[in-house]
Amino acid sequence: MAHGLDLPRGRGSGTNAPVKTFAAEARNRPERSAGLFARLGLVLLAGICLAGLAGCRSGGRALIVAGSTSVQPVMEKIAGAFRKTRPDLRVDIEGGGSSAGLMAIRTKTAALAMSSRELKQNDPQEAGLWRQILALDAIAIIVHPDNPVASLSLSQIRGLFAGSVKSWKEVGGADRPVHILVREEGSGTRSAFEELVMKDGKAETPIDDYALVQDSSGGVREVVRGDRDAVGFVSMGALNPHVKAIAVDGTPPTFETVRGKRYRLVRPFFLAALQPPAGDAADLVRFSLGSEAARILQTEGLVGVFE
Amino acid sequence: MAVDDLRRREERIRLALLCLAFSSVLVLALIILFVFREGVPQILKTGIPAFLAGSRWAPTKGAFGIFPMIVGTVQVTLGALLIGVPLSLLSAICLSEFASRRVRTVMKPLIELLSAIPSVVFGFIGVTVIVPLVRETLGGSGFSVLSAALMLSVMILPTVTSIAYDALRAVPASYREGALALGATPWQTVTRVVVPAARSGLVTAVILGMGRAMGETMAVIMVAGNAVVVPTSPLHPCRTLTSNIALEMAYAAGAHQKALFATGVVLFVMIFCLNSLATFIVRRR
Repeated sequence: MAHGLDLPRGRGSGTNAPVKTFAAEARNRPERSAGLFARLGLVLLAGICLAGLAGCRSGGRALIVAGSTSVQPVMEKIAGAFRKTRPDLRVDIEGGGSSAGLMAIRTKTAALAMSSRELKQNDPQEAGLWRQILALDAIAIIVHPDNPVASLSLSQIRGLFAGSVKSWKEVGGADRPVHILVREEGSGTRSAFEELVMKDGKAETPIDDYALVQDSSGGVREVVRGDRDAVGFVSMGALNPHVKAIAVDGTPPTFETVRGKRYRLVRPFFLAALQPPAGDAADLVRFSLGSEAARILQTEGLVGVFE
Repeated sequence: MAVDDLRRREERIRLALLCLAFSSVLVLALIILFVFREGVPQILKTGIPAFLAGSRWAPTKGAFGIFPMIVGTVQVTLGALLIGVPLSLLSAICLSEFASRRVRTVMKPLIELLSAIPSVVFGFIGVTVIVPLVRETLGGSGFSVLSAALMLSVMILPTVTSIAYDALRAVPASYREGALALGATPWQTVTRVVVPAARSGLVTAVILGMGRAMGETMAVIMVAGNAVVVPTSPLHPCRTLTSNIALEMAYAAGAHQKALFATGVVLFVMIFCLNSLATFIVRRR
């Protein structure tokens, strides 16, 4: 909104300049404008050149890894550690989502894809790709720390998110309404939650339409932190002391229960490629499965698969 | 010779400026072309009635109904106008007709400063103040049509107030003098003479405020709750058209992405209609 801005008017152009005749002024003006346009053009040109340079700044070797934004943060840290062992190689980690990452290896714009969901075997775009489990991520069901409910069965959780359980009293809490929080359509965490919790055999119970929607794990966590009647789900890596993770069928989500496969709401994170990787990509995959990467994974709340 | 030379230069400058002026129109045309090309096929594929009147939105499962979001947008916007417009118009009348010069010189810039606050800050205040307040006093989760409308009513305040103020100041002093000379009280002068005379400007102010409320995205995402339902109470959560696009664009692919462009097409048509209405009202004067 620019109205009401009082710009100083009609000053500017050279208060100390000698008085010129109108003709002299007029003769000077076009050149000045032409000069201005030339300068503008130069600036534009420089900008385009810079953008072009940025686009192909490597010249040397670059390894591009693209995909899930859930995997991206930890993969960046792993790549950071990997770079120290291979300073000659540039590794770029890009987001965009699991589907976009898998598409990128199809079109060869990325060497490796990160996926936070199982590949669709009935989709010709995704069937037959090479894939490797990178880590296990648990989905934690979170409530406000003051909520007396500490453990729920899978079907109780399903009831809460389907909207059929209206009061916390029905699952052993206070007589207060349930406020459900979910992630938006298209989120990998949401589709994993639907797969792991809302699906019972073949039948999938839809999530309640009145569920509040947040577009990040942090958003879900902050709302749950502020509302003692709220329940939501986040990646285990997004847990913090301000929210309480519910035990599912008596098992709380921890590093040990996830590794021991006792906690039920677990999804794998994958690395995928067109063919079994060779060369630099293979080095990165090997590093990602090694002991140093396992430590990084653990600090991020994930569980590495190779010990 | 010198004059001819000068004229040619002038002509060249005129052309260059014309090109620059048209560049913004070109950008608009490109945006429209792009959004419509991406969105319209998806609308036609779903079917116009099914897309506009369908109430189930589950793009990853092939359901594309945006009716709840159209209703949400309209409700939040009307709510914001209901609270914000009386406040803005009355403060504009107060500033223009009754306030002393000193009050005016302090108040006007202050109200305009309100429009310089980034919308995410309003959203943050909404989440930390309005949402808990609504939750504690009226019940529900607090993320609701009401919270969004309350927050937006403050956000449109500077727009509506300052345009309405300008419209009122544009009424010639002779109108007021005439009314007062005929024995009208100051209040009668304002309600019977000044406000009717400034009517088209006031309507424009309201419509521009409406456009601002309708287009606001970030702050609304933070307080409206974003559930895809047709709200039947002001305490229900809702999702607006703009929030739908911003919320889901990050991971959307294929038909889902096209459906978000289609949401943009509907929003574009709605805002275009509003702007045309505003132009029409101003012209009619």
